[in-house]
Amino acid sequence: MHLGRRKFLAGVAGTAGGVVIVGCAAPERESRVQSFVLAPEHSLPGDSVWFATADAHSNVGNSVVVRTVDGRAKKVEGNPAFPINQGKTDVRAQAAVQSLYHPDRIKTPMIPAGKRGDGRYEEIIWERALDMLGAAIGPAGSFHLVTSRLTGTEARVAGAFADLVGGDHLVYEPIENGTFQAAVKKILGVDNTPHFDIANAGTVLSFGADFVGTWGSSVMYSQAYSRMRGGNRGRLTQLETRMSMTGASADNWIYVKPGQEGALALSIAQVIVAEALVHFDVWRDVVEAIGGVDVLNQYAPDVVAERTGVTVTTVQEIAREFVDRQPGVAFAGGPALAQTNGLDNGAAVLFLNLVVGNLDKAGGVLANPMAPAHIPAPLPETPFAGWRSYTDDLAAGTVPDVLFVYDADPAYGIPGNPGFADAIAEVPFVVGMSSFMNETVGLADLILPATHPFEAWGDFTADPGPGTQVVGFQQPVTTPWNDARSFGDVLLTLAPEIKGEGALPWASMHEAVRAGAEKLFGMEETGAAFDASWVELLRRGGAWEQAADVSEFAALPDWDATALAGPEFAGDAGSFNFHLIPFATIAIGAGNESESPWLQSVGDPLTTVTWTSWAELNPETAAELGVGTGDVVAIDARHGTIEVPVFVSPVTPPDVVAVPIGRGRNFGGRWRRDRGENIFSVLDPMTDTGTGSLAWASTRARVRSVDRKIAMPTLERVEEPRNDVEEPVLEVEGE
Amino acid sequence: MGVLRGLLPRLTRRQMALIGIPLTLGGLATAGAVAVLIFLGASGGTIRPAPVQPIAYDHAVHAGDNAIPCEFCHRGVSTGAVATIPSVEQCMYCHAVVGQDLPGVLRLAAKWEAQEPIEWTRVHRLPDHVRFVHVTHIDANIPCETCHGDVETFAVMKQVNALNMGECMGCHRDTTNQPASSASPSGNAVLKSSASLDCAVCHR
Amino acid sequence: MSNPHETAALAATLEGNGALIGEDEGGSDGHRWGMVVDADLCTGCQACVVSCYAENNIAISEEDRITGGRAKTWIRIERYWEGEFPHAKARFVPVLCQHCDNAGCETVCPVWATYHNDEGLNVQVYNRCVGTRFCANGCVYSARYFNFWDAEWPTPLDYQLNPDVTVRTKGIIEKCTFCVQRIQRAKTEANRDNRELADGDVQPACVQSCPTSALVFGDLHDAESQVAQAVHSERGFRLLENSGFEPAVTYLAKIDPHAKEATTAHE
Repeated sequence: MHLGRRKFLAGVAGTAGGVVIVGCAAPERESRVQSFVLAPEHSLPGDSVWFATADAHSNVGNSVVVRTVDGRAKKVEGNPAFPINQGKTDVRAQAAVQSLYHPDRIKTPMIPAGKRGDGRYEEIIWERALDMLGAAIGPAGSFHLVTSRLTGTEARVAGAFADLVGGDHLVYEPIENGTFQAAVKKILGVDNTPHFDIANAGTVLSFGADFVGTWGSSVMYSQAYSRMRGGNRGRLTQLETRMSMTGASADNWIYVKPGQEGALALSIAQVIVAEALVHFDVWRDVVEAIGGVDVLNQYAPDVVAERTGVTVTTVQEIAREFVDRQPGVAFAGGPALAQTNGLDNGAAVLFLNLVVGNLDKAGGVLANPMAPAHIPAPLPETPFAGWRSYTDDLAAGTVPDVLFVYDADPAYGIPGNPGFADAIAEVPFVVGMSSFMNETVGLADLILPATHPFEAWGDFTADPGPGTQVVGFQQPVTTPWNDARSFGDVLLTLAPEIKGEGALPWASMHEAVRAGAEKLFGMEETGAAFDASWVELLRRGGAWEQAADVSEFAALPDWDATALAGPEFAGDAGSFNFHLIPFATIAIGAGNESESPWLQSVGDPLTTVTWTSWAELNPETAAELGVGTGDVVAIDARHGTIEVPVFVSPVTPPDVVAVPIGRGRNFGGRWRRDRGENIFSVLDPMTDTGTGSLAWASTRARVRSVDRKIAMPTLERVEEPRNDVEEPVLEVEGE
Repeated sequence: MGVLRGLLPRLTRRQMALIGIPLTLGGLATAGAVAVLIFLGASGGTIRPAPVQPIAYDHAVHAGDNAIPCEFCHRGVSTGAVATIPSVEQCMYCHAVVGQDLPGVLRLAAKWEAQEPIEWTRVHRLPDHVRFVHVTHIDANIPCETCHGDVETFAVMKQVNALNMGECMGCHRDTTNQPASSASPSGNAVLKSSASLDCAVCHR
Repeated sequence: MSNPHETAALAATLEGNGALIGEDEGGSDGHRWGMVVDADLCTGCQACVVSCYAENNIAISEEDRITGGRAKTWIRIERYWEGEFPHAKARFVPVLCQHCDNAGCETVCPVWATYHNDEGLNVQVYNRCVGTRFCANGCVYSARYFNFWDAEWPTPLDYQLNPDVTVRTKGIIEKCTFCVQRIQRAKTEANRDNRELADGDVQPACVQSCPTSALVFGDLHDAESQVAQAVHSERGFRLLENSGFEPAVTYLAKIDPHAKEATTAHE
């Protein structure tokens, strides 16, 4: 095209004008202002309205208040009145608003457009989805419901629905709690989590439990930790195989060889008994109950020092400090329990509380009431051994007619062969319901969008409680922006269609949750009289004044210390010379929250690595392998190999390679997909002999360089030291 | 220029003028345009013509003839940052019985019937980097007309002040250290006597 | 079009600034905002970091931005190693804008986009900033972040944006504001309810979320306030104190029962 001078100039002028207009004018949408149709009762446009609801990402029971403006959720804060988190939140609670408005949420029901699992989907409407569900479940001979550890009314509705259609309800959780609970049962004789009174403790002995990070009710424990540090400043001793966040905050950090936590705990008990640090009357009966002083003496520090890797002096110091600074509390979690001898490790550690007689004492271990039956605590998970055999059965052709998976991802987290994804190939009809696509939902015949907890009704009982019964309520703070529905509501819609009117006693989750609250106060029959109380309950976020009897601790432990065996590892020490220690990170946990770019970009506290997986190696080990931070290594285990970059960490033991859990996913949105590697894929399917839980810290591996380097996404920059010796950035004082 | 001379081809005076004058003019024009853009950006805008609204709402009738106080409809003005536009429901409180056969009210009623929001066009708009809070100004006894003009005479709502930073600053300086009267129209507390000149009060 | 008030207003602002240099008292409200960070309580949990992201519309730090050294976190938790295994230790220090009384960033700004207000805040005025980045070079705490890109929030992620906080464009500097929008909101509410600001009325997002209450914020001029009490702790020190920037953030030293002696360099 020929461009004359005049035309060219006109074009230039036009473009310039265009630029000016674009540059100056406000976007068209910003010059529009809509009036509401109805005036909302308690809010004006542009005003903040705060709603109390449940912490979306917590399974232990925190309550939050959500700031909404014009119907949009903006910010999460802790509910200041709530006894568990007391106005505080953790990093994942803060990111809940981002998961809520994530552009890659499942927006509508979908069916595969081609073959199941090939990644192409077709959107359908809910009516059709419900018809498909009803048609599949109604005549089904067998129905299996797989969920995460549901809590409260949602758990009860799921159980009631499974019973109604004659199905089975299985509970899946990648990082299991069963071993801990079983150890509590053996030593304390109770079926719920006790309250470890860290706030008033003089000494805390934590064996691998990352209680200010990823273990248990971490927000409650963090505040307790803060109070412990005030006043007389209690001491924290952390005994573990890989330094956790909690370990970084400890006064004493002690490396204990993997699986030897139980032996170390009994060794501490032996010192207390042998040196008569505590009066005979306190420990005589409980020591007798676990096998007597003779059994303890087999764990004298000099006998087990080699096994545990902890010197005699250190054990004596820990024992003496624990007794000198009573009240004290001892508990175990994390990798300490994820061993073949995990249950006995846990029991041995909890036994320390009995030796010093600190049950039912402030600063010791206090009993909690059981959750009310109609608002249960999070359901116990089906142990890994059960999942492994279930997966094998599926693969062998023993399949249900319908498999309904909600908010669980066994295809990502079950190690061993065959994998869950392959095993469900023969299941005729798989339903996946979730907010985000995951490894399991991606293989479904029918995919349903689940609401975010900020869009749905629910309730929970805090587990653990603070020694009292604490019930919280979850109310919708915003309407779904997509076509999501709540899991409970879907089941309650299906029930009458399959089994006729009145099949289940509630029509909706709202009704069920409200009925549960009425029952809590013994007001089932009062009807309208409950309206005002109900609003007040929702406004406060829960109820915590109601009296409830606490569980009673058993007088004597039901545990035989001779049962404590040494740990067994997958892979021989000769060719697999590293302990592979997976760990959950504070930001993305076991990976369920990794869709959020905020959480992905938050640095792991100790390494500051973001967005990807890494392998922590000791500096000397790394030098022997000829690798540094950013060099990629292959980690070979019996069950597979993953390649991850190294992070050289001075706190990592020489025979340990530590890799975070939760990344390496193929589904779940632009910020979750294809980041790092899935450590579950190389773990050996070893189990705890006592409970059948996955012994995820019992795999051995070898590490080799693959001569590749990546730019490490760490927040820290390593520079030549300036005059930091003269002027340390952080100051430290003695006591 | 002396150094460049050796590098550039030799040009006649006429050639230099031919190249130089357009270049200089072009440069000046560009600089001018940039300056105007910066000014417009910094000054927060100009007085824009009154927009056409989906319903020809007449402030002169409501606020003038019928003397309805501003706050009756703009309810947020004495409690929060935003004065707020009334909801359709609120209009219908009166118009369910008043002026039902007027064309504007018929349109309103249709919206109410359909339960649809009315999409008004904004008359007063501040840039994104400014946070204006109505309640503080109401409590300081600043009459609405200071910024919005004699709205009770406007048949069509229009902008009368540029609402740029100079206007804000002018007022804020004038009221510095002037005691506020003890009666505040919103019935809320009496604001302290001086208006702030701190940038962070509005720019957050 | 030019406004007769404009030049005069600018002059008034300048006068205000001039009078404030080296002045501790002052301000119509008499507030002096400050923070105490107890390093003994910080567990490195990152709740403050994401709380700040959510409150302040901070752009997402994608992986390539982090590898490129352009991560954006108004508050970050730095970790320092001490020693080697098995006696190695890790220490956490939350670092945010220190709101220095004698700030290196304020004097170098050619357009007065950053200045000290009479309540002790180091204010960044986004609409004045022209992006010279002199201030970022003047800040020894690396607390100032330049917007190399426009932030992106694919819809509906933008539904979450806080309407009280400006969404910054590319080409300008941004940093921690001590949640000035919350300070203003608390003042507006206190005025509306006819009362004085009480201790705890203003909590920046990081302080509000901190599970161990390691962060304390408040008015240093209010002798009864928690922060004013904490600031006089004998464990108190300030980051890079010898730089002479007079930060408004005081750190309380980590307590280590095994430290042979205090590793303070200044006494």
